[in-house]
Amino acid sequence: MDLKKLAKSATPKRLAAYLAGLPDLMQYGHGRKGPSETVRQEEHNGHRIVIRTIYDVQVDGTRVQLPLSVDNKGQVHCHSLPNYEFASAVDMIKTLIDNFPEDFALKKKPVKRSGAHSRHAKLKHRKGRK
Amino acid sequence: MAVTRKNIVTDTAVRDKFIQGVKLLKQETSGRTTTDFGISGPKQPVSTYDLFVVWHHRAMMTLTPPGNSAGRNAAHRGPVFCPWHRVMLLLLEQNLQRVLSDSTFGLPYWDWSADGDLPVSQQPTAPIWTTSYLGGEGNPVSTGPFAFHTTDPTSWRVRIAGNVSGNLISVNRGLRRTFAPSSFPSLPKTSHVKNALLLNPYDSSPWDAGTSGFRNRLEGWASEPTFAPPWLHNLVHVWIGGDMAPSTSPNDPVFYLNHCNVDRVWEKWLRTHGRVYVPNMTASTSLKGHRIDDPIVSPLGSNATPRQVLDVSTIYSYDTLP
Repeated sequence: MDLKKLAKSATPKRLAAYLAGLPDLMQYGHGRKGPSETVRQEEHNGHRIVIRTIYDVQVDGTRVQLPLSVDNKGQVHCHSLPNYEFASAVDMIKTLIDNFPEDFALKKKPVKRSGAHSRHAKLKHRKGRK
Repeated sequence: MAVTRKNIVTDTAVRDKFIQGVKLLKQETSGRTTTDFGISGPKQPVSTYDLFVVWHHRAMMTLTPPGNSAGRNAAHRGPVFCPWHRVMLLLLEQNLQRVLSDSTFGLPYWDWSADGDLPVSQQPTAPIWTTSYLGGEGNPVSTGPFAFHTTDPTSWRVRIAGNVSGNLISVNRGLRRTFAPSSFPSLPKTSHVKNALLLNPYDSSPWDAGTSGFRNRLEGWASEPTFAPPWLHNLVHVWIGGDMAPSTSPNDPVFYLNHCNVDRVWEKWLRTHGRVYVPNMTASTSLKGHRIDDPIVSPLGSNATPRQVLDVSTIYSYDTLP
């Protein structure tokens, strides 16, 4: 490797320009909306096998968009958590929940008030707005 | 003149320079903002250090070929794993030399297998995690040179993170580490590295995370028969956890110490088995980006291919090999 070319390419300006000019990730199979789809293809004794798997994952009622793939051994891999792969998609989602706490932050359930207190609070609020 | 890469645990001078260097790169603005890279969230300047975070993430999300079910991407889960990271480390090393004004500086490595030989209970308190080195675990990390201080904007901050959907987002928070998850309580051991070094060839068809060659054992998708993956490189990421887990793992400076050791293991393999690489250019075009003369996904374009980084002895060497 040419050290001069290496040094030239290593400048922040050159690296930043390179990164800013990279094409959209959509064309690499990531970033699509909707359920995650992965396609396995294999040849066997002259036969063409195509297995299309769709993962429509919901956590707490919300669909989760995941960049994932399933290889020919059946192992599930998510590029968001690149050093893991799983035999079980359920185990994968559990690990994702543990590693991305902000993305799965539990929404606080509204506190159920008693009828009298609730009416009082509502009236007080209206009064305050006047 | 070639620089020498040394063990960060045994060489305090190189340790101090590494810490100083990455902090300088973190404070150096690249002239770009998060919006230039399509990163959602509050617009903020992107440091030179964080350019490497973006680069790693983008390579990770670039499937080769597009949409392949094996999850092979421009830097992982395929043969180019070792060459791609060698180029990444070279570019970081060049930047460290520049900000340190020291052309003799060599990126240090962390021999995690030495810590893996310790009893499990001692691994989280090994010297590398003490305050003089990288600090310990936490959310945020609160000890050592990369500790988070709310009122000090120059303290180490994660500015670009990946979310669960694989998108980059603009953030402003401290570094996270959660050592030794219950499923993976130990780092890899010296014997695991030695056994990996016996494997030949470098890689084999179908060139993904299911092969039995050296690359796949080192990357960590394949383990020794009585164990389950993750192994070696992957296990180090998983064991450290926190910001070492997502595609933005270069947010933690220990990323470079891990990969420098991975590169050191590869260098030992090259010395033992010959400076060879597969697949060659007769392999299918579906392996574009992983063949010996394909450009590595980097700013060097065609000036960096796997073949061109098989012998880097004019640029650097290691003080000792495993």
